Amino acid sequence: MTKILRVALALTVVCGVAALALSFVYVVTKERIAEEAKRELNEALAVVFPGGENFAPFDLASFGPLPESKEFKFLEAYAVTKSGKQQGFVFKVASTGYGGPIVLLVGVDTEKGVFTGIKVLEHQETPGLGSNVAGEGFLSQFLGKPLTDSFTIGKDVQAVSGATISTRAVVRACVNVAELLRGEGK
Amino acid sequence: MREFWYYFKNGLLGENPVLKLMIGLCSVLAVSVRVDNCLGMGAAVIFVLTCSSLVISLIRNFVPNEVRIPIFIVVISTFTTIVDLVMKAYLPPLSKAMGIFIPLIVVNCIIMARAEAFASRKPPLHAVADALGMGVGYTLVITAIGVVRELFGYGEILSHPVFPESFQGMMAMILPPGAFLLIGIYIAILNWSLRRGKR
Repeated sequence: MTKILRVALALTVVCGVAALALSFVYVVTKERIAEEAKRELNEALAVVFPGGENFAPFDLASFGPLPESKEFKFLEAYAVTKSGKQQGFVFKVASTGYGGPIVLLVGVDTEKGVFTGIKVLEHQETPGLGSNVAGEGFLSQFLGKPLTDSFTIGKDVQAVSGATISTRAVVRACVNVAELLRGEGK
Repeated sequence: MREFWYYFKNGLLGENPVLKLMIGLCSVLAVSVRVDNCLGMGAAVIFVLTCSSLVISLIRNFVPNEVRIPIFIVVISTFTTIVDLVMKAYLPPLSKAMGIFIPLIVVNCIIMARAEAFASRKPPLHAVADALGMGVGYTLVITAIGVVRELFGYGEILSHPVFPESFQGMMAMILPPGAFLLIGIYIAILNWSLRRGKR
């Protein structure tokens, strides 16, 4: 009986000290981490919508029923305004590539009806092949593309060589965003 | 003090965790694509390994034999979580580049093996010497792999271009097989030179 008490005591003491230490570090770093995430998001938003002044979280539900499948999902939306005037939207979407979901930010100027920028936030594509879809060279071709574009790979969109599936994932994201804003999304 | 150096050097060469004991290879393969990742990973491993070895050695007489493994894991995961949180707060790009491999230090066999085989049986000073030696040995090897992989895979060192613009990166070096090949070559070189030294 004393044996089991000793074992329990040892475990309790060690876990208690560990919990104390962890909660201390958590409290110290919590604000920093939240700030860092916010700064990162704001930077990313400014990249996909250059010239946007104010980014406010926007309720996705107000677009009506959203398309959702295994391959594609809308995650978040931000309304972009400049001096109170609606300029466009930035969507955070997940589109499945070769190694898992690719999380993208897609900026759209609704006044001109064009894409303003795309940025890859997270991906697990093959380094050196699929990971090139996160690169400037591939993504810059979407700048200024009208929402009415047909997005045919090989014709309108230059694919990343050796990474058809990753390319398709990014294109799928654009098509879905375009359809949603044109009011054709189901 | 002489023993301190003896245990420290043991981890560098004689029992180098990666090349000799061949443990902790998973993170070596995954993270060594770029030199800065290697250094970050090495620093994280050295910190976790040294702190947990010290603590485990200090409490070694208090810990009942039956529950030593759960207690080691609690100690190791506490330090790993601290590293993870601090990195997220102060070095976000690095923390992003290493992703899941920081939390996975918890189950890195180097740390568990040293806790079980060494720190839980030796006084604190020796445990720290062993942990530092193992950690530095790990960092040296992973960095040596990272230098070659980044140089030939991307043509860069610490993200500074080394080769002219026309350089075409070697795919094999960017993908995990490149690390496998390099580890094999390093093991061969180390064994060969150790054997030569003995003669």
